[in-house]
Amino acid sequence: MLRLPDFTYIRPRTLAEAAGVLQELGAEAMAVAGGTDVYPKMKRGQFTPRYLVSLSRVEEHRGIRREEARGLWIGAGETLTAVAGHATVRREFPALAAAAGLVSTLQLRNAGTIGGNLFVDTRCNYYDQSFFWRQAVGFCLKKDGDICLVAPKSRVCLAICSSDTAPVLSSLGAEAVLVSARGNRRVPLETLYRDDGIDYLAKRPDELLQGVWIPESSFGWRNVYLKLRRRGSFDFPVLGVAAALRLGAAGACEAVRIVLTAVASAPKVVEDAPRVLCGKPVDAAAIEEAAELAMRVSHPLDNADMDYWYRKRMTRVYVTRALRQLAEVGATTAGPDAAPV
Amino acid sequence: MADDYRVIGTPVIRPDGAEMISGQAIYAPDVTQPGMLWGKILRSPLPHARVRSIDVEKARALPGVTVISARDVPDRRYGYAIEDEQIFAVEKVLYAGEPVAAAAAPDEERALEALSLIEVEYEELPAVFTAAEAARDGAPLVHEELGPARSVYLASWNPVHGTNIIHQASHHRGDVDAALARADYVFEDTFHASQIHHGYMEPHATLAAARGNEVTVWTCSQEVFQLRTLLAGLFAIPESRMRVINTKVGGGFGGKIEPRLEPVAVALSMHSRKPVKIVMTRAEEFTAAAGSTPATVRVKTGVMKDGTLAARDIDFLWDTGAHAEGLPPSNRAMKDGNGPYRVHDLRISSTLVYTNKMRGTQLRGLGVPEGAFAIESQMDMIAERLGMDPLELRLKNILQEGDINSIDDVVQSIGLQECLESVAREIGWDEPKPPNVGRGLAVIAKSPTTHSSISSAYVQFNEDGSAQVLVGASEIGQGMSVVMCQIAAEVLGLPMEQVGIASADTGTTPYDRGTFSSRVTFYTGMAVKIAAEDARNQLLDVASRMVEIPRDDLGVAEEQVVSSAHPEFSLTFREVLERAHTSERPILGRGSYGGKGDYPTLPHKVQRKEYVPGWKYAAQAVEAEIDEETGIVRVRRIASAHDVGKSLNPTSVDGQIIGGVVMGLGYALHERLQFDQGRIINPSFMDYKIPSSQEIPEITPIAVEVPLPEGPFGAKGIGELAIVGIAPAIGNAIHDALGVRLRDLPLFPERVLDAMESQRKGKP
Ligand SMILES: Cc1cc2nc3c(=O)[nH]c(=O)nc-3n(C[C@H](O)[C@H](O)[C@H](O)COP(=O)(O)OP(=O)(O)OC[C@H]3O[C@@H](n4cnc5c(N)ncnc54)[C@H](O)[C@@H]3O)c2cc1C
Repeated sequence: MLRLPDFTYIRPRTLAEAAGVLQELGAEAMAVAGGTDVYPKMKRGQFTPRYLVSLSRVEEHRGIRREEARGLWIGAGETLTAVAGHATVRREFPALAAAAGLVSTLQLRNAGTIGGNLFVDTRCNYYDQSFFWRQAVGFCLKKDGDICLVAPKSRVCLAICSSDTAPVLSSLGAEAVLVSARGNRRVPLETLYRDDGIDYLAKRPDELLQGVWIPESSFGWRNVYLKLRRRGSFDFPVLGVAAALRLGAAGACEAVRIVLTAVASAPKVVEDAPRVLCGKPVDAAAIEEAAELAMRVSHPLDNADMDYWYRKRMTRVYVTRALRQLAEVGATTAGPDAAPV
Repeated sequence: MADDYRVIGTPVIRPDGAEMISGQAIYAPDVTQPGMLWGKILRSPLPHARVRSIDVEKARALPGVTVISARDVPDRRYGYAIEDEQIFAVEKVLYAGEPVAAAAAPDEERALEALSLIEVEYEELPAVFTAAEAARDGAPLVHEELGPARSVYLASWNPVHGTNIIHQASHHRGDVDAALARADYVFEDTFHASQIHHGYMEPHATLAAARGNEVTVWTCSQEVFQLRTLLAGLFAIPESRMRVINTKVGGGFGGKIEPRLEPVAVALSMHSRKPVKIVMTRAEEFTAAAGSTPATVRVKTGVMKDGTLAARDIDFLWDTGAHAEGLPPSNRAMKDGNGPYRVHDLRISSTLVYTNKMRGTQLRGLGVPEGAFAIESQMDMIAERLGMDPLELRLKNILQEGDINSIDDVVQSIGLQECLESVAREIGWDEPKPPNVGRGLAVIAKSPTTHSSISSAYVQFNEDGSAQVLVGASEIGQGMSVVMCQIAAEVLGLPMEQVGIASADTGTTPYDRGTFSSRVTFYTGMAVKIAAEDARNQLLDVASRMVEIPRDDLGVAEEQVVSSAHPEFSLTFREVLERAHTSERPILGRGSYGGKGDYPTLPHKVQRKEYVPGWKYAAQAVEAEIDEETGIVRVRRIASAHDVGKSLNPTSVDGQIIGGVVMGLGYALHERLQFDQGRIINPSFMDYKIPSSQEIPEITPIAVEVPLPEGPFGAKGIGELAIVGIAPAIGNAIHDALGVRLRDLPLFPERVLDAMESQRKGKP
């Protein structure tokens, strides 16, 4: 059994207080919610905080509620089980229910939060290892070392975004509410991600997520999430496809967003999707074109399970399937998992 | 016949089941002793390097800490087959993970701190990571000198000195080349089985206590007597002063046969004079315990137009890693490599090669899964080419009663055809299939263990008339303790609650070769049966003297001594035992039973056409659906039929079959130890993927009962076979569905797609 190193545990009662503590303690402090990412990484020496600022006593980042005209509020401190089981989420945003419900295992979903899932660390075969293992290979760029073991010539870390819910909430145009000692801000969730395996979040370390709004305007969009991984449980995504689209009365596509996970250090928005899909019915030809585009911008590397060429090719298959589902049956419940169920 | 038994053949739930699932059972990591220290092992970070120096002074300066390295332990080599290992690396480290030093301290943190203060200077050496590379001329040598071999293996040991080839074996019968030349078709294919891990839930854990001039070791082991002999020899103390006590074992699967932590724990305890406990982390399990011994298998088969197998030439290349624990599987291939087929002209050769990686060892099936994947895949390739049904091709060629098998044993008591027909029926072999659904079959045989496979047992009557079974075999979760109690209960006329068992403690239980190779039900079971009969006879002797009725007129029933000749009389067991314990002597029955025969190349295999009891047979069938666009294989149903001779406890038989099938599923579809420059890059249950409940399909276990006259109540073993045929059966189902053939395990979706692509491009 690996053991947790010593640390000081701080449990503030408000987000502002927590943010203040984080700002004061600086780089040696870290926020922890469910701890399902933080604690295993501390055991392996990937995270080495001296102070953990726990959000477990904070109340203001909880709750899932529908507010007329404002949309759906999801508190960052809600567990993945709560999100996946929430009636409005299931009815309106089956993609989110699916993504949250497909994270790891039930035990982890009961502990892990949606906030922690949105900010979950990027992953890489050479980084997600014990201290001893990483020491033996001389460490890597992301922690304690100075070269990238996936692509030794790379100056940036290529660890991949492994969140299941980030692509879905991005595809639904969600907005994040951040709290810090310097005040609050509300930004499109998508702008919080950077394509850098180390600095993968475009926010200051002392900024805490209170929750996300799925705006009113996203209600009525058809949405789906498909996840590729080796097994039907436990495994992180090695490809995730979130797709959301709004169909007009005549059956033409009015708006569409396709966001991929696990193919880059940030959720990857397929920018050109609207160009080939909007203004016409979602037919086979349009789907094929969009899927081809998605595959082109999908750049998996040899640092996760399943061969990278395969994950790239599956981007086309999964985008095709996602769009087909949206075109045919509209808003579906949890999309079929790639792994055998 | 089944109706004649009271206990045998009735489903019995393990009495210790509740304790196990509620977390109360004591496994090796749970054992403690007063004043105990925690041990930790410093392991090599490099796959191959000269050890220039080890400086332990700073670590030793920590208070309460004991630190040892090669200098502090006996300079002796050990190993069950080949003595090619020392407690700590001496001049070189041979794989990333090899023990270099160890520390014991009052808590794990301090022990780890001590390790971090040990300074080791290495000089990295060129390394070899694949068997093919390692077998080449001029490859860097893992061991500069080969051997020595332990005496039981000496006669057949055949190394190539000056190379990495630690052992070569071959078995040749008839004229293979001429028979191949005469054949209508010749098939030649190469298959590759990957290295998997045993994946037991309980990690290795050992507590050693050197007190006075005695050493006691609590551990989780499949073979406590072998272990005792090895430890006693290593530390040069008599076996009478070395006691190995088995705890409950949370799964072995072959991974807990050979010593792992025990030598280090004993050495630390001898130095600190305190009990020392070591528990492996999961990462250590994956990088430094062992995996299976993977093989590349080339099969050349000659076939006649009517489907008769004419000749076979099979070549195994095994990668044993840094230590030659792969020797038993590589030898086994001589016996089992051809599968359960009638092939007269036969050549099997097996080469075992060292590489700079964690060792390969025995794993459920012991060399049979690697060969079966090749043979059973190729059988379907042959069927396709001949336009024959794969079921028909197998029925035509499988061994039948009275045949002579691959190693000249006379085949008797074989239920293979029945197994094959029943799985075909169960899976709906001839029924129509939806698109992209395929079905596949495999047949399997495994040879019995050999002449050194000896077991013994005591069965003792307690004063109240209940009985105690003592056996040296290990309960490793397979349920042997229930079956041994059933056997004794049946013989003694006792209900199950009246029979207790103690096992695997070299200080109290009688000798047993151990738990491996599906041998315990047969050999230990026979020893228990004989011991129970002895105890019963002694009981009847006492009763006979008490009532002056000849012993032959007495029998046991419902805890009483009765006589059909004298229905008016009966004595309770308690009455007889009171007499035994007060005015005669306590009743202690004794039994032992041993194996027969040997590998074709070993001296004990002298006669041709002898009958060696204990061959095991099985057939498996799967139905799978393959997603053409993703290559993802979803297994829908599995049927697994096993000729168990007699199902002593149907609950255990089902459990063994289902467990084995699930393990086979992982081996087929998901599991492999993945290496990067000799380092395992998936050393956790996150990244080493055993099946989750979602991957497990409907499994139908089937017990076929063709009694083995030599076995206890006709029983044969069951432990291993269910893992063996799943991979080829799924491979065959994929072919059935899509027409593509995969030759490498695991059957990853990437590989399915790759094969489909090659097929489209017209490549083979
Ligand atoms: C075996 C296993 C399998 C897993 N499988 C998956 C999977 O399939 N898909 C997946 O997406 N994830 C997976 N995870 C990762 C993780 O469990 C989930 O992402 C989970 O949702 C993280 O939530 P948490 O509350 O436990 O986060 P924590 O571990 O508490 O925190 C994670 C990160 O988020 C930060 N954080 C948390 N809350 C806030 C907040 N309110 N404001 C600012 N920062 C915050 C923390 O500082 C930390 O950097 C897996 C983990 C394990 C151990």
